[in-house]
Amino acid sequence: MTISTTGTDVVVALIQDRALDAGNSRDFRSAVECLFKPGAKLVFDLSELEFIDSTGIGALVSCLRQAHGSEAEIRLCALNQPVQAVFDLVRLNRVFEIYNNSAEAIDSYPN
Amino acid sequence: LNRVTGNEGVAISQPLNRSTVRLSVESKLDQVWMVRASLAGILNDLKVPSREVFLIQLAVSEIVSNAIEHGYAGHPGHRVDVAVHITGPEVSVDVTDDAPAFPGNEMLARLQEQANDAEPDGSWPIRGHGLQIARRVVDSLKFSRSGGRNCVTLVKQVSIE
Repeated sequence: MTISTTGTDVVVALIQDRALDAGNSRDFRSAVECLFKPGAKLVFDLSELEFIDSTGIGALVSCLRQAHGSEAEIRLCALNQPVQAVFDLVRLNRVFEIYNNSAEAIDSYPN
Repeated sequence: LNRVTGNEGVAISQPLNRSTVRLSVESKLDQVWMVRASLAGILNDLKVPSREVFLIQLAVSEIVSNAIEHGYAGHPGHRVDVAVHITGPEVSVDVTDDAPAFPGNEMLARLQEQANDAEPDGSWPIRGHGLQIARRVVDSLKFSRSGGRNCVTLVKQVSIE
């Protein structure tokens, strides 16, 4: 699992793998663990993600819960069509704040 | 395709050909992508629309992962077999494993559960959605046990140009 991060006030984490699934969700959780600092403003950029399954979805929900527990916030951006389809399927679009791109997601955080 | 057009433009019925490809992966979750890649290769070649390809990949991934995680309890060194049958516009996929029989009643109950959609407060159970997602995105999903093996058969009608 490769994740690159940019930004200081708002941290954008770009998931560079093409899939988030049962095969790498545990690695993903370990890789993003260090981002959940109290008050952190996070954006997960999913633009390179072409496939997600129920375990990948579970990993993202787990991140959301961890964020809530540590007074951090997570927003998602740049979902490709297949990923969006799974979000629609399980109605996760009601749970996450989702933006078209990272700039919009960053701007959505109050200064 | 089951129809060809003769010289006079008359549609002539032809028997449907069934094509089958079989592959096996080791019971490791990081091998499941190869099943998806194989499915994509076959279905893209048939010009199945990308959304339908994705939904079949999703359903098969869930079933294969389920066999590895729950059937084989995550232990490597076992085999999951995937047979893909194409009959006209129907794609049928058998996912077979040698794991102990899944209790039929429990499997049925899990399939008959109402799908657990996410609630606005994020109260979405993190695990246990795979079968329900698979069931939602294909036309039928059946379990059988034969010769000491478990088999899940997924069927989906697709659009072939």
